[in-house]
Amino acid sequence: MFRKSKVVLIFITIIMIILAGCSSGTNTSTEGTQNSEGDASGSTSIAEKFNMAMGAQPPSLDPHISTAIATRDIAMQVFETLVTIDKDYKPVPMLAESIDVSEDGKTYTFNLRQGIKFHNGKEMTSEDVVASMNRFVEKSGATKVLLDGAVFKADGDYKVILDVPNPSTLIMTSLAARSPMPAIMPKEVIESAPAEGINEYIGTGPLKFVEWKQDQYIKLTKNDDYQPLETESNGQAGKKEVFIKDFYIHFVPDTSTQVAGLQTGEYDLLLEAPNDNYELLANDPSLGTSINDYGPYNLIFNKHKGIFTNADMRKAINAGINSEEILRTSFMHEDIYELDPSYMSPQSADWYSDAGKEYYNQNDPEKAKEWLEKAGYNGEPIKIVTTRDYAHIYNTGVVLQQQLEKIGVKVSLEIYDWPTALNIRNKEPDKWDIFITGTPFVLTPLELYVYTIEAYMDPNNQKVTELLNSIKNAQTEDEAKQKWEELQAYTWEYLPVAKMGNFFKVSAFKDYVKDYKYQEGPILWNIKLTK
Amino acid sequence: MKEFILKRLLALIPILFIVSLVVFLIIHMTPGDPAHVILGETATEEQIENLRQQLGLNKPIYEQYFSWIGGVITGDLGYSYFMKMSVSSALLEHLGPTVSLSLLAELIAIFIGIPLGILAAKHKGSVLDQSFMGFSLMGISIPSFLLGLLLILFFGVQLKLLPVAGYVPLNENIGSHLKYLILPAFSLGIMQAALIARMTRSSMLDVLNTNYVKTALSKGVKQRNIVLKHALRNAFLPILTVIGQTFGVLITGAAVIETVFNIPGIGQLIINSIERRDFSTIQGAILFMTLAYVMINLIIDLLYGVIDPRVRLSHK
Repeated sequence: MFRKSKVVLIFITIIMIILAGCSSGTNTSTEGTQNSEGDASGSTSIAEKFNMAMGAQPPSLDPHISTAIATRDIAMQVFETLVTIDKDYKPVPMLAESIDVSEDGKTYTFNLRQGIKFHNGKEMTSEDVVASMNRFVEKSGATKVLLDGAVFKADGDYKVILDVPNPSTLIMTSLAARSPMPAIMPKEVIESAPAEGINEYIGTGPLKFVEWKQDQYIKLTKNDDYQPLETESNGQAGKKEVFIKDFYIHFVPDTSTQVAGLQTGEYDLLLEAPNDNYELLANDPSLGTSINDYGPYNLIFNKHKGIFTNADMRKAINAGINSEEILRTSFMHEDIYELDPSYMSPQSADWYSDAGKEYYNQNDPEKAKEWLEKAGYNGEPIKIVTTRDYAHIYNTGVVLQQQLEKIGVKVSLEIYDWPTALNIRNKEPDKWDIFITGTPFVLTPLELYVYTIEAYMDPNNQKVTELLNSIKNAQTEDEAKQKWEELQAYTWEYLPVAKMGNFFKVSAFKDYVKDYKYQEGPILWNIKLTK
Repeated sequence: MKEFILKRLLALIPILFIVSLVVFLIIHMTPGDPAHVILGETATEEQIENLRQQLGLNKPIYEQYFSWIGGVITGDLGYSYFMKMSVSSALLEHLGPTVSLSLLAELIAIFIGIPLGILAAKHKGSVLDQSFMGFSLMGISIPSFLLGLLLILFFGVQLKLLPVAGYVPLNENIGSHLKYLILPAFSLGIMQAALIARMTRSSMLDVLNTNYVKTALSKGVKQRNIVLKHALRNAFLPILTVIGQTFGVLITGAAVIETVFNIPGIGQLIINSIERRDFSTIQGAILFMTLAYVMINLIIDLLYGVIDPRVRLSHK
């Protein structure tokens, strides 16, 4: 018996050794996950560590190609752009010192800030900017519409010239896009980038990329060589200061674990708190919450195939739905949504408009029935694609089904996982009639997904294209705004989508986290820890 | 013995081949597109098509299979575009947490399950037996994720004794390593303990009624010695089978518990890879799991011989 137990013991020891071997591999550093106190050494108090939790890791950290929100949220800490947005969503210089526009509006001259260092120590010059911007123009999707035919070229080390085929008042704004983002990175990184995206994450931003532990965390650290602007901090623009040494961005898929982790102090900030925990978190005296602008929440009609190629059917659904009921059920709390007919953000001073509001949130079943009759609806079931991957999208599907059944429409709720739902949306127009999704706000109407994603567009509608072109080619900002109002009113009339309202995302954080702001993503610089 | 091991290893080849083919076909027939995931929800069709082309996703499916399986034969499980590393390195990186968690959970299961089973068998029909078996029924019935959440709530949020989620590798700090694994290991171990306890009880009951035990009793051998030396050893084969099976289940990824406790193990790797349609990682991970499961069963078969000379393979 003794000998046998020795065999078992040896066996266990071998497994432990293998285990130790496995654990070593590529690990570098995790100094536990408890927060350490602010370091009092030095004149400025720099806290050691900040832990943020988010649901999923980004599919890529290449801000030129990926439109994923998780990519944007992390990339914006590391990378900077020639032009960025201030709190009113207006474009202002960041890596450019000044910008001159020629009289014909076809040539932009960017005078670069000198002495700006990349995180690898190399100085940023015009060749890096040209390589970055030309790659962005080539690779990015929605923004491409605005920058079609644009060419960047260097003029000396610190001057970059942009030539555009046609003048547009939107060029500057498109250069401040956040997702995809025209990030400036070293030329060498771009030259060695494989198809699926860059391998090195080297920017000029206030935080430096350190390591990406797959499915665990991304570690960023304070960029000690960062040269902040002298102007006051304003949205994503102005002075950026970092008061914390290391930032760990943890990927925590389970929402209960996220909340428990925040409550126990494992995480200092929860980027997107689950909606059904909002009240619990908001009432917790040891926590703070911030309600962040996010974007429009839409029902998208399939205009390529099926019943909704008939505009009267779309009008019937739009007349019958009760947007408030849908939003309340989907987002759980009235603080997390708002009723609003505008496709552009209420914060966007240049573009916000309520044109077409008479068609919004009608909640008129009788009118809906009239439209159904006019459309010749004969009781065929409507396929609503939804997913359990996002609770709000699933809830919307269920409430919508009830509302539509009330007006006499048969509904079949099609539940898929999210990647499958996206695939069906793009590739299988026979399998869906209504697609539910919320998308982030964009900076110009030309980037609105309803006009850029093929699956959402109406292949037979020329008027939208004409109006988009007239916005792009407008001579003045007022003219562009006027054309946009026309397009928004028309969008409400012909209904490629039915907007239900705006939704917000809630960030929750420990009470010692100060100056946390969110604009098109979490602003991690400027945060202070007072504990 | 050598022949037996060789035969079992050779039998692996067709198993792995069939698994590779089935997994490959299922994954590639499932809707969802890695290029779309990389580029994000709002990417345009043109962008997606370009990337698909560049990543070779538009090639005929048989061509993709042969190019993958060709790599597998030479030991190359493929490359993950999402993790920007080879699938083998990704698996190795995620194996550590899973092996740690499984071993700890299995130890908890054995140290709770076997004594409870023995005590229940020894005091068959008593209150002790009833309550132990009631406990084990509860252990089997309660879903591990629910137990996990309850443990988080009590030990993490209320008492603040243990961290609620995360992982620290063994080579960094053994104390923290264990601290992060205790709750998930208990969540997994309790269910396995219940299974082991029930198996131990019934197996022990069979043995305790045999003639040699009665003979030993009548010879005046101490009861403790009878139970631990004579009976348990003879009753151990079915218990070992259960331990082997439960360990097989644990090592191939306790996906739910790894997700709840945010442990970057094989289970979580597979879930995340499915969500992002990381084809090569899913394929590699499932091949690896098949291999691991078969190997564990082989080891258990060999251990039978260590415990019971009657089944020693060299005698066959």
